[in-house]
Amino acid sequence: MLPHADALLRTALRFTRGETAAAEDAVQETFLRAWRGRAQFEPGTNARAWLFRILVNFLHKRWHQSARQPAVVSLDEHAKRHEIAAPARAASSPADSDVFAALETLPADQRSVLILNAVEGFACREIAAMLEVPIGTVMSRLGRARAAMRDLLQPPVSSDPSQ
Amino acid sequence: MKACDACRDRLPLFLSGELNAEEAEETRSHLAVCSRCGREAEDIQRVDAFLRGAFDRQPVDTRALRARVLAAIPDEPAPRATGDWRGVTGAWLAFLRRPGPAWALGSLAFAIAAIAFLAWWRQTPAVYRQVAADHREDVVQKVKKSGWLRAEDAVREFTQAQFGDPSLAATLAPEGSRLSRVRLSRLGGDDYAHFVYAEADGREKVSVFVRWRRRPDETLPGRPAERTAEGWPLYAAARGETRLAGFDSPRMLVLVVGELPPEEAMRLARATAARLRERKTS
Repeated sequence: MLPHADALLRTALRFTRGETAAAEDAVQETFLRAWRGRAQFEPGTNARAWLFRILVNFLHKRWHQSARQPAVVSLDEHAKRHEIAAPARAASSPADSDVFAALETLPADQRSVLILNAVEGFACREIAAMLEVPIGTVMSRLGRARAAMRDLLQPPVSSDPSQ
Repeated sequence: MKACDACRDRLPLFLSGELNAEEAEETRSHLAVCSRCGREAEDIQRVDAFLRGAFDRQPVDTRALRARVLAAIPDEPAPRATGDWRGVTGAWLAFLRRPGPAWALGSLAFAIAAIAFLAWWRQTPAVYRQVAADHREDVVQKVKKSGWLRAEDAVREFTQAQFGDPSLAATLAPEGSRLSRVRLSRLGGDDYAHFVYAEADGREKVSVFVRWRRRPDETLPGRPAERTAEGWPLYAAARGETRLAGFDSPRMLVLVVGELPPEEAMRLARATAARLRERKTS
């Protein structure tokens, strides 16, 4: 009966340093706020966007200074590990834990915009409306977030992507 | 330089499909000629794909959470009397129904669609769902992804490296079609070579997904609909317009996918099996 709970929880986990109990609290709070505020929900608009808006606003307030120290992913180590672990794969993919670690070094406002766009598939325009910021702000946060992720996740020697 | 600046500014909107047709076309043609911007677009898509993959694979269990939320809701003060609601389910239904019959009808239509989808979801093995979705993204929706190989040499090298057969792409090609592109798609923990074939007019139509059998007794899921002339089990599945027909060859699992009449997908799969067999024996 509770739609989108899994997706909301996965997003919340990226703000609570992977702490499940805290992330579950955030999602529970989101549903309760949605329930209390249901009079404000405009039928015909996107319920998923509405739930994510509540969640992200809550996470920003509660976990705004939760960016991890950016030393978590060591580039050399990452490159080395993948050379050894995955020589057969054409393009080496980072481990999921490295992806999350990199994501969690981003400032909260960049992190949420990146998750909403890249993972949850919301359009920049929708995100601007959800967060009540200009679309230019959404795009510059996205740009900075992606540049930082790329630098953290890709081995320093630029491997030829055309294989 | 100016074109690059404009392209870079628009890239996020381009990738989430928010540009109008004219702007999108400008961006697409610039990306085709400018290797620097093209690389930047690929980088973005790669980062996004890493993120999506990591999120998809993150296990979460929301059963306890759902129970807690549903238990908490009746204790919350109802902001406004929404009429006669019974228990938690009734409360959520009342919420979904507001305000008025139009919304109720919408919810009903949605529920029916959701039930149909769930029924299909339960019946259809995960591999077929993922293969159908991957095919639709690439061939129907044309979602941009990286890693596609198109040049003949690169394709030969790829099938040689993956399957020890430099001309596999030609062997798998449906009659009258030629290979448009190929990439490795990771679906449900396995790497499939995803071959996309185009008709004579260049329109992409049919996908063929192939991977090695990991064990001799490994087969495609489900019950075979029939057997090919070679005696290989032949399977059928469908998602809307998209039909899948697959078979277990002695060494590989092969799936032919397209927006095709049901019998056509099976015919293509049978013909593919025959060509593969011929190739092996010759």
